[in-house]
Formats: sequence, C-alpha cells, structure tokens
Amino acid sequence: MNVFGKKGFKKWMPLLGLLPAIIVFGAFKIYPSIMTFIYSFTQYSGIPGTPLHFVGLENYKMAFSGFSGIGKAIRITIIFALCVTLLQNALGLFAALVFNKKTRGTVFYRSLVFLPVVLSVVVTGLIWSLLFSPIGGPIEPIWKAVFGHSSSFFGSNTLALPLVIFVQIWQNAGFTMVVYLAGLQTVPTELLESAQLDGASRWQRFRHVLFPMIAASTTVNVLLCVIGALGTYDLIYVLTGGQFGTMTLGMDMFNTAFGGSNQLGYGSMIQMLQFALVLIVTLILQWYLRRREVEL
Amino acid sequence: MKNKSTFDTVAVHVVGWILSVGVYLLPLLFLLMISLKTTHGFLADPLAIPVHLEWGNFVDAWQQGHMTDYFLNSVIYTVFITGLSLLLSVLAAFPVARNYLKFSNAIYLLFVISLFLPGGLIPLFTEALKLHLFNSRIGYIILNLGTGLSFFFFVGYIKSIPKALDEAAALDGCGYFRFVFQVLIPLLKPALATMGLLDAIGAWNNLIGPVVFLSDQNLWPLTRGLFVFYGQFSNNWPLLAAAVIIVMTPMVLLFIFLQRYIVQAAGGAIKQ
Repeated sequence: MNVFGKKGFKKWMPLLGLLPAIIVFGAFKIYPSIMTFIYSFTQYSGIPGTPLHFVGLENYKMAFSGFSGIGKAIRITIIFALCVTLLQNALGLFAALVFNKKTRGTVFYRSLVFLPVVLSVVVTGLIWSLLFSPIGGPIEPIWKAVFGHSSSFFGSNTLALPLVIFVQIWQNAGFTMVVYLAGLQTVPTELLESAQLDGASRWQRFRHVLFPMIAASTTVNVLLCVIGALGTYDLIYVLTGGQFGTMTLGMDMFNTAFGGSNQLGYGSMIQMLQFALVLIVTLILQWYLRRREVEL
Repeated sequence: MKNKSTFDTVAVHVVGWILSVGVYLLPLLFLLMISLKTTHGFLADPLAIPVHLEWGNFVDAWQQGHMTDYFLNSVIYTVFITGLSLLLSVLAAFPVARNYLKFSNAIYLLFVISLFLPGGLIPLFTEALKLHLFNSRIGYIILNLGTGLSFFFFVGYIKSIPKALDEAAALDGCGYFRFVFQVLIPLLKPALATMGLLDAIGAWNNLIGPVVFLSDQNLWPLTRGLFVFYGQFSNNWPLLAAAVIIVMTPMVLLFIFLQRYIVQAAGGAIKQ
C-alpha cells in the first residue's frame, strides 16, 4: 500500500509519476512495434495524406517468390551473426583469460580493447574505411605485397562481408571480454590451485574447471552477441551501405524504408522476418545454453 | 615454478602488445598521424610520418564541417535525452518496486515483454511525421526518450533501500514527490550515474536516429554531420581523419576519466 496517502488526491500520486513513462513507453515503443506487424500487410509510402493500402500477405508472398533478395539477405544475416558470435566470443574469452592476471600492463591492455565500445559506429566505420582505403590506406600496400594484387576491400564482393564482420567484432569484443572477466573473477582460486596440484594441465584446468564455472557469462555473451548481430545495420550502413554482399535483413529493412523508395510496408515485412529469425534463434539458444548450464 | 610464472608474464605482454596495441591502438595512432599531414603530403606518400605537423586540418575540419552547430546539438540531445530518461525511469521504478500501485506486477511484466518485441523504426517514423516530432529538436528528444534497462536497474536498486524510510518520511508529513526528489534521488546517485553514463554514450553515438528523424542540417548532431562530411570529402583523408578525431575525442576523454564506472556500468547492466 502507498504509505504516502490512502485516499483522495494523494492516493493517485504514484500513478501520476508513472504516467509520463507509460505514455512515452506506449507511444514510442509498444505502438510502433505493433504497427510494424500491421504495416507488413500493407503498401504504404508514409507520406502524410496517402492511404494505408492493405494487400494481405502480398509482401510476404513477394519475399518468398524467388525474385526478391530476401533469401540472400537471410543467408547473409545468418553468416554474419554466426561468424560474429563465434569469433567475438573466442576473442573476448581469450582476452579475458590472458588479461585476468594481475600483472602490470593488463589494465592498460584491457582499456584499449574496451575503448571502441564507447565510440560511435560512424567513428569506427570511418577509421576502418581509412585503414582499408584502396587509395592511401596503409593496409593496401601490405595486401599487395602478400597476395600480389590490389583489392578494393569494402568495395569488393568477396572481402566486404568478412571485413564488416571484423569491424563489428573490433567494436564490440571489449564488452564481451568485460563480461567474461566478471565471470572469471567469481571462480575461487583455491579450485584452480587444487586442480593444478592434482596435475591438471593448463588446457584441462580451462576445459574442466574454468569454462564450466563461467557458463552463465557464456550464456549472456552468446545471447547478446546473436541478438545484436542479427539486427545490426548501423555499422554496415556506414561501411558499405549494404552493397557488395553485405545486405543483411536489418540493412535491407532500412534501405527499403529510408533509402529513397519509401516502401514502408515491404520494409516492415522485412523487419518482421528479422524479428522471427531473432525469436527462433534466441529460443533455441536459450534452451540449449540453459540446459548446458545445468548439466555442467 | 618461478620460470613458468616469468614465462606467463612475458606471454601476457606479448599478447597484450599484439592484440591491444597492434589491433586496437595502432589504428588510432595511424588516424592521428594522417590527421597531421597536408593533403599533398598524404597523396605523395600516405605512409610517411609527417615532418611538419599540420594542425590546421583540425581548424579546417571544424569550420568546413560546421562542427560548432553539430557539437551544440549533440550536447543538447545528450543532456536532455539522458536527464529526462533517467527521471522517467525513476518515477516509474519507484512505485513498481514498492508495490504502491495495484497493478505494479503487470507494469513490470509489460516492460519485460517489450524487450521481446519487433523493432518499430518504420512506424516510429510515420508517427513522428504525424505528431510533428519529425525534424525538430524537441521532437527528436521526445522520440529518443526511453526507460529501457534503467527501469529494471532502478527497480532492483530501490528494493535494496528499506521501506521503513518511506514510512518514516510519510509520518513526518513528507509528500510523495518531495520524497522522490529530496530523499530517493540522492540515495540513487550511484545507480543514476551508472545508467546515465550508458544513456549518454548511446545518445551521443546515435547515427540512425538523426538520419531518420532529422532532415534539416541545422539540427544534426556530430554523428550525422561527420557522416555527411565523409560523403563530401571522401578523398581528403587528412581532413576527414581530423574530423573523426574531433568527434571521438569527447568519448575518449569520458572513457579515460570514467573508465572504471563505464566498465562497471556495462557489467551491472548485464546482471539485470
């Protein structure tokens, strides 16, 4: 019960305080989410005064008719998310393990890896566009010396996607590392010492003591990584604009709706497909990772 | 045993230098180096270390990139979005944490469900047009308000504050809102700082928001300004590098001085 007053005007004060948050939340979070679903069954330009034209399942039919790029976009999204999740977790865990020791310098190393987490995607995107610039970028001559031919990097159909994956990991690995570090710090040192005394090798200690002990961190990191990667488009927007085989579902949604053609209905349908993909993958992963946590 | 631990220490530093310095610091140093070259010097030999430091690139980037306006806009958006979002979150979290409303649990559940809804960027755009929030400073701030993670964080934090405090204050005749502003908010300072940092970093760095919701150049924040600047001067890397450094500097400074809190905030947000 409200201790500040049980009747009259005073009773309603908590509600009065809650109201702005509820209004903002309802108007700018819940309502747009529901409308995405409704828009996905329409043809709509979004220009004020133009009608919302219902077309039933037409957008979905078109997407799976074979003439659209949706199949390819789904494939690219899955490749992107899979690579980012695996590599970012491997790198984050590796960095956490190495920098977990309290030696001089580790704080400095950790800070450097974490730094890009606080930078904007424009900044990260432009830094790597500069480094991989075919004209005057420092990587181009090295590349030429090693492979014997030039490349246009972010403008190359074969390299653009791997490079975008790399930059995404570069930007976010520090965060993954910090979550793993927090997990590692909960592992009692006595446990590792006794394992060492029992003759467990470095790998065995990691595989059978450390890794099971940080299962909760792994779950969090994998889920955040997958959900983030399946929806990413801001970094891709800066690096390639979705060209050269980097058109993920998120990027396709953004381009379809805001790239000049104003197809808000079709764009909403892509957003719903992306949502369905996130939902399916998350449910499967959640089930698998939780079960794994219990078993370990 | 001693040899082994020496080997470990060396290994840590080797990995540290290759990964942290090589992959993370070197690109930033290269950016700095480019930003100090003349355009001619860059084109003649992009990789040479500049002899004469061309600080003028920063002045040019600032002026040609209209950074004064963009910078001010970024500050305005970040301050208001962060401040108002925190206020909304506290006012929502307090009654829910204390069960001061009959439907507290339902509200909490609603916030949880909202984490698992499809993105609403497209309808938000048409909504912004209809409500005249499109292409306006106030509109942009309102569209970006959100309780997000801070709501859950504050609910958890407030639950750790004894309810006896509310009762004592109420007995002394303290009103609801006076309690929130004069007792609760000072007690929440660490939580407010944590979530405020995360909100502020997000607001400052947002690129998609300004691209979708702001078409008038005078209203752009630094992120969109920089992106358009890139489109105009995509071959003038010294100028562009200087612009990138200008835009990233506030965040780098924030990170250097508040690193401990930012890392804690990131970790703390996860636990929720």
